This record gives sequence, structure tokens and C-alpha cells, in this order.
Amino acid sequence: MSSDNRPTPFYRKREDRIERDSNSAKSLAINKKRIVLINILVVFAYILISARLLDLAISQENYKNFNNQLLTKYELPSPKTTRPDILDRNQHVLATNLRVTSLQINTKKIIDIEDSIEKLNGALPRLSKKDLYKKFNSKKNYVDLARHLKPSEEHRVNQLGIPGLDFHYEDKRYYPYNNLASHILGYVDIDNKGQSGIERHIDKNLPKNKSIQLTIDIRAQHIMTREIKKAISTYQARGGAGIILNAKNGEILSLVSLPDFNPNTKKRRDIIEKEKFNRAISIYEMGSILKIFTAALALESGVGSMERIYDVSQPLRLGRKIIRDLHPKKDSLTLEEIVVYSSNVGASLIASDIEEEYKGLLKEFFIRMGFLKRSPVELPEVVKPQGPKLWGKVNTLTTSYGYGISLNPVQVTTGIATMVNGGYLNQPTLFPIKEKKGKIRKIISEKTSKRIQRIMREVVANENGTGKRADVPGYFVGGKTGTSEKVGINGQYDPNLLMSSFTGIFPYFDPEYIIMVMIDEPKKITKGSIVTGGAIAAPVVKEVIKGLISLLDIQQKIKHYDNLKASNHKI
Amino acid sequence: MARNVTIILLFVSFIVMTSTHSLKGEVQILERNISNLDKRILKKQGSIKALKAEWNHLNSPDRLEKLNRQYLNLTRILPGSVHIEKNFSFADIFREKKIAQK
Repeated sequence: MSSDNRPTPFYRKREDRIERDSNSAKSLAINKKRIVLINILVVFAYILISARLLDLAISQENYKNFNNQLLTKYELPSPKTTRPDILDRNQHVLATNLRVTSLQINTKKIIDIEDSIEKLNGALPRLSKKDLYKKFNSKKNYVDLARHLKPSEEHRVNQLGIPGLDFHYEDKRYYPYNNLASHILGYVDIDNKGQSGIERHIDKNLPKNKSIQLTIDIRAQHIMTREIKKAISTYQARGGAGIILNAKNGEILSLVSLPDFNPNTKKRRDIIEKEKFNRAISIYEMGSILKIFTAALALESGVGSMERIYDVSQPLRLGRKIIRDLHPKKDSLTLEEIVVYSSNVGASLIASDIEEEYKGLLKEFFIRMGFLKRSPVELPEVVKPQGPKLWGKVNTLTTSYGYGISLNPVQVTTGIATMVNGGYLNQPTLFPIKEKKGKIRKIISEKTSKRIQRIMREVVANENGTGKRADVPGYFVGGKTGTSEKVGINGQYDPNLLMSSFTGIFPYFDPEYIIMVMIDEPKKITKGSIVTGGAIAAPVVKEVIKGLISLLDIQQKIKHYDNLKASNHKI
Repeated sequence: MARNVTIILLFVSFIVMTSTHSLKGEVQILERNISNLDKRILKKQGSIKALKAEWNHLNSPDRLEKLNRQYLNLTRILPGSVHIEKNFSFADIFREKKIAQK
């Protein structure tokens, strides 16, 4: 055997195998390193991407937060201080928010106190150096320097470039019509919290995120205010009140109380108590206007009739109490005449008849009318009425002509609306009625309501009627006067302290509007002049109606009257 | 095979990174625009409110009445100025006027 053919010794094979294995292990090691490297790279890339995504997510959030902070600090008012706009029924702005600037100081950032005070006093002379020094040296970090800066003041302060001075933006309540609807709207304090009127009602009952519309017509409000002001001035009266109410649904178009106040006044304490006093929702003994309710009850219950005659020639004596008439009549009067001539004796006789037939009916009637509970009108200051503690005979008879029971003008106006609108009691409201909610209480029948309309027309149209000065030819005004004596300092009724009122309806055959005017303590301007409701308040109602004719759709009413006649409707 | 996958993954990662970065930039610009627009809207709304308030103040009835007395002297619309429907019974008006005259 040749040497070539010699078989490979066993150790050689092993060496080869070892060499082969060694090469394979090397390449495997290299590959492993590569794989690990690539994996590291990929993992790193993913970590990088994840980190970046996280960063972006966080930084986006920060970015948004930053922007929101900016907007909140410099543009958006705080939700706590935001108040809704208040509009009248024709979308006129009665109250709105205007952005105003306030100045604040960060005491830690001030570099040169003396220099800053000097400069700031130059730009804002209303800030005294003494006050500024005190505020600049305060231990607090942030101190308010001035609120409600004018744009010019803000500009001047900005020009100073003092570090540590910050502007803050907030809402200020503004009333474009100043005094005109002050007793309805009320006012807010410096922190924009409602203190009275609708402003206070909003805080308690309404959402603040949208405008609020009222039933008030600012033009009607102006006419009412103007005419009452004239009467107050002429008769040197203490004050006055007026209401225009929609007889069909209880919406209040105007609610005036004088004296009034300017809700834009900077210092709220400047508004004195007598200006804040709202006569339209305060209680008074309303006098003869209540005879309408007595007559309506007599007619409705069947105790009285339009033709029934009552002897009013003598005063009515009830124990120590003597009921007299202002203008005594020598003969008898019908129920209608009792109201037309406003006879206290007659009203007492009617009430006496009712009590004899149905004891306690007058009280029950007043309860049904809501005269003995707080009026639901949305003004927080509404005063709860006061009736007699004991409904004995004397008290019942005096309430029949408006004494011994104290009501507010809104209640009386609502009551009259019920008497002439077919007998439906619609609660008075300052918010538009979109749909009728719940049952509307029916108080008297259509027939009685028509009779009351006729009686009220007679009060104005009759030549001896107490309300003849309220008539506007061609416009079918009806109404009822009211003159009551107020209690004087000595606790007795004082004939020199009168509350003169007139409540008008028009057009009387289908009354849409009830207009009430009340003048508080008118003075006799000439010797022998009279200051009764018919003499003072009735002409005011007349002027208000004349003013309203151009605003309200009166022509349609006249047309309606024509249609009623055409269909042989008895009026 | 593994190398190819790795390369593809790296490429995809790169694209994702760059696109995310550019998206971030675009979003930031849009956010800034929105913020500016919001501010401008709020400012305009404030101006509109102020103008409305001023308009109502300038048109307040007592102010217009004063201006009328001063410059125009226009008369008020009186009840007699209002037109009455043709088919209305004039007998009724006459009766009402008679009552008033009494």
C-alpha cells in the first residue's frame, strides 16, 4: 500500500473536526454579536420613538395647559363671576358684562420700590403715595392696587414698564339704561354677586351660561317712569309705583318704583335706602280698588245683582267703628253705582250680605286669589301681604273697601286681570311664558267677568264716575280708583297721608293690558285741591295709555271689538 | 433574512420618527392658530358686547326724548293719529267721544 493510500490516522480526523468546529463557532460568535447589535439598535430606536411619543404627548398637554392658562389669565373671565346678559322682550340689552382691567402687584418682583411708587403715582394720581407705600411693603406676595382701570389708565401703567405689575381682566356689570329698570334688575356687588332684583334671582335660580330675556318692554317702562315722575313732581309726592301687566298671561311689561337708583353707581353704599325701596312689591292698604273684588264675589255667589239697590244714605255703625263715604250720597245706589261712585258704605253692605249668606266667603275668596300669600313674582324683595288676624265682622267689612288688608300693587294688578280676563288667575311673571304650565285657576265665570268689565268702563265713562280723568276717547278705557289713608306717626289713619291709585284696563271689552299707577303721599298744591286716585293717578294712567297706543297693537283690538259687535256679542 | 428585516425595521422607525416630529410641529402651529383665533374671537365678542351696550345706552328713550326736544321737536303720536279700520262703526266712536266730552 502506498503512503497516499494510507488511511487517515484517527487523531487526524479529530483535528479536522476540531478545526471545522472551531470555524463554525467563530462565525457563530460573530453572527451572535451582529444580532445582538442589531437588536440593541432596534430596541434603542423603539425606546427613542417611545420616549419621543411620550415627550410629545406630555409637551402637547403642557402646551395646551399653557395656552389655557394664558386665556384664563388674560382673556377668559372666571366662571364664578360670569353673569348672563339680561334682555327686554325686544332684545334690548338691560344688563351686560364689560371686560375691565385691574392692577395687581407682585411684591417679590419689585426692584426699586421708591421709584415704582413715584412713577405709578404719576400715571394713576388717584392712588396716593401713602397707600402705594403700604401696599408695596406688604408681606403678601400679591396685592390689589386698583380695580376697574380705564383703557387710558391701563395704557399709561403699561408704558411705565415696571416689573412686578400685573394686569388682571374681569367682568364688570353694566346697565345701559341706568335707572330705568333698576327696581326690576337690582344690582350686583363688586364681586358680581346679585344683591337684589332679578340679579339676585339669577344667582339663586337660573343657569348662568346664556342670556336671560324678560317680559319688560323698555319703551313702556320709560313711558310709565316719565309720567309717574311728572305726577310726583307736580304733587310733591313721596314716591310712586306703576305696573303694566298683560291681562291674558300675567306677563309684566313694566314695573316702576320711584325714587329709583342707578345700578352703575360705583359705590353701592351711595344707593340710599329710600331709593332701594321698591313700592311696586311692598304692601299697602290699597283702598277702594278692592271694591271690584267685593262686587265680583257678590255677583258670582248670586248674593248681589247689578240692579240690586243698597241704601247708602247713612254711615254704617258697627260698634265703635263708623264707616263713612268720602262723598256721601243722599239716596240708594245699585251694586254697579256703588263701585262707580266708590261708596264705602255700599261695599260694606254688599260684604255684609255675603257674610250673612255664606260666612267666611270673602276670606276664602281672597285666599283663592292669592291675596294672603307671598306674590310669586320673581323678585326676592316681594313683601308678604297682611290680612286681618281675626276675620270678625268689622274686619271683613273693612276689607271689602280695602282697609285692614295690605297687598302689594302687583297682587292687585293681577287680581284685576283675573276679574276682567274671563276669570282666569295667571300668576304675574317677569319671564316670558312659552307654554302654559299646569292648570290655570278659574276664579269667576265669564258672565261675572263681563259684568266687571262693564262696571269698570262705567267708572271711567260715567260723567260722575271717579275715574273719568283716565278716559282716552276711542280707546275704551275702564278702571277703578283707590284712595287710602296711611297710618301716621300716632298710629291713627291720617287724612293728609294718602295713597292715591288708579288701575286701568283697556280696551275694556277684551282687556289686554292692566295699568296700575300709585302715587304715595301727594300734597295738595292749591287750597281746596283734591289728591284722590281719580284726581291724581287716573290722569297718569291716561297719559301712559296715550303713550302706549303707538307701541302696542291697539288697532287690532278695535277691529276685534267690531267683530264682537258683528256677532251680536253682548257687551 | 434577519438583516433585511432589521434594515426594514430601522427604515420604518426612521420614517415614524420624522413624520411624528413634523406632525408635532404642525400640531403646535395649529394649536397656536387656534389659541390666537380664540383670543381674537373673545376680543371681538367683548367689543360687540361693548358696542351693543353703548348702542342701547345711546338709544335709551329718555336720551332720545331730550335730543328730540333739543334738535327736532317732533310731536308724539296721539290717539287721534292712529288710523281706524274702515268697517268700524263710527256711531260707536261718536258715542265714545260724546261720553268723553261730557
